[in-house]
Amino acid sequence: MALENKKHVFWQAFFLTILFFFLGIVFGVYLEQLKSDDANILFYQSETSLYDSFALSKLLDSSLVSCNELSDANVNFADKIYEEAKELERFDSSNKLTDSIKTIHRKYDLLRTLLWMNLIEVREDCGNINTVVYLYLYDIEDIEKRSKQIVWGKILQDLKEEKGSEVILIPIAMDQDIISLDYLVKAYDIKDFPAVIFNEEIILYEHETVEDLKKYFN
Amino acid sequence: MPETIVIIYLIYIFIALYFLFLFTLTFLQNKKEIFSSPKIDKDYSVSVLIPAFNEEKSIEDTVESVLKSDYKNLVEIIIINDGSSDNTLKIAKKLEEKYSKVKVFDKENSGKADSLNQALKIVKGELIAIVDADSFPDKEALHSMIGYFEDEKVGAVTTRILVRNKNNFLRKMQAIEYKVIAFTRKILGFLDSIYVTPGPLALYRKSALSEIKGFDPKNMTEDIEATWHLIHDGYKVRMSFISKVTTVAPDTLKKWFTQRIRWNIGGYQTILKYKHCFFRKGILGLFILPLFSISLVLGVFGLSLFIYKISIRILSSYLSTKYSIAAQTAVFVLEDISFNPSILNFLGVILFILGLAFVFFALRLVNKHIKEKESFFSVIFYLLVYIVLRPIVLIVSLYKFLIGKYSWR
Repeated sequence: MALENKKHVFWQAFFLTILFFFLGIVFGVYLEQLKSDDANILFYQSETSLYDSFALSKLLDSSLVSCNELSDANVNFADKIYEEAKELERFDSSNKLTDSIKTIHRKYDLLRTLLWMNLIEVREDCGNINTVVYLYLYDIEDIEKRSKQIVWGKILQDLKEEKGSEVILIPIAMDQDIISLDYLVKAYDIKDFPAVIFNEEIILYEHETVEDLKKYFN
Repeated sequence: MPETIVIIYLIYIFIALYFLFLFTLTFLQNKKEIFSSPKIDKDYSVSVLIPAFNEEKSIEDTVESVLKSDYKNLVEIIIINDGSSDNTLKIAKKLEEKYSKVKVFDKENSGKADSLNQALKIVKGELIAIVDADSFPDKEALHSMIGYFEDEKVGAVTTRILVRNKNNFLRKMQAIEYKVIAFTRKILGFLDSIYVTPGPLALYRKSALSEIKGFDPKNMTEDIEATWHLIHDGYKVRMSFISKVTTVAPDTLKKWFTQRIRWNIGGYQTILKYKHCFFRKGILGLFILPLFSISLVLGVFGLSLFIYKISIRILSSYLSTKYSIAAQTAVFVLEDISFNPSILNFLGVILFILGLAFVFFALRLVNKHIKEKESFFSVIFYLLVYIVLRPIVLIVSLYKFLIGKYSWR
């Protein structure tokens, strides 16, 4: 093998690696894009449902809609985006190359913030709604806090499974630069995360058992 | 922008892919030459040096196997007794009496490199074969290696080193490793990049060894250092793939670990000695040194990162379990074990499959003439467990090297 050929083989291997690697990355980005497209479709559907929920709230004054109907509509919507949040978590864990899912996550957090705000208003008019808002951090390095969040997630999931449609569970990531959410958090004087807010009255920072949590409901 | 850990992972994949392609392309471009060896035109005289320290169990068989060589111009076999405390000297003397070509050079213990340097002063041959006292060259071995010296720029030739007595699992693992190394070393030979002519059997041009002033007694791996020195001084190093030498590999994890620590420390010493050649001095500075250094850095860094990630995960699992128990909620839920593969997982799997194919191909090629076969399980274990031990050895040897705590034995 002549010296020139030796040089060639180093470059040939390099270009082949670049090509293979590039194709792998392109394929990876394409797959992630497909997932984020799916998540986007879900988001648009949920967005429409939220507007519908807003519209229903407006109809409350005209007595065309009862509090029960409005409550049911909000529960259904909240349950829908709660399930979608879990689906999004799964997408998120396999999204490594692009930030597309992170952007959708932020949109969902805004949607959930709007839902929370809407529910605050609905409670003022109807009063018979139980909400649990779970405020957590999306990007978290602190191992202790991350472990706390994992366990809060399990406790609240257990609570939701037990109480079903009696409870509206709204998990919202706090660190997504949502200004309206920042104001809400300020209004309730929440200083640390993760935090769980029951009916805008009780704020918990430390874990409690599902049985203890049930006591906070109407 | 991907996370730092993702970028690091992609860099590892890129480097692994590069070497996989480099080896594959080099093989494809040279496959006809793998099992060939140059014709011998000149009748080179060969001296064989067998350095021995407490080798009473194997020295006789080693000498007998060298004597069986089909190369006619083997002028002498010098057993260098490096101050053995067992019966090595007694056995060597008996062999000296029995065979006219065998000579014993008895000296106080001073290490392998110094023993060889002392013996180099008295050897007669134009070529010098160095054979470890626990290694057994095939009768064709020397003959198949000598032809390479027809090229005056060739300073050293090595051959396939295979494990003898694969009577336990550790030796079976080393047998696979040695075969894969033999294949990659042959490929590196086509790139003028053989970085070691290991002790079990290495053939040197005497004038080349004299030019580099023999072996470096301060280096823990005098064979690596001598090879780099030869390349540094413009010599080529070649490998004969058709012949072989078998050697006794460590049979316990402790002995294996000690041996590998020595090899790695020798590697660090050699890198340090030739650091001035980085990206200079031809193939040594442009490929061998970076290859050696990158593999050390990647191994150490990769293992450190792995340990860090595992520690974080263990700590996180511990805290989650503790909090879950306190809150009377499930310690594990289905979501905890659900696996959502990412593109990185796919790339990792592809790389593993390519690596597996490479190892199987190397084994098939090396086994071609020796009628041996490794079990699928052994190869998988080799790739998933045995190879992972290497970075651990790298880190321990780096630590020992940095604090200066090392000796030949």
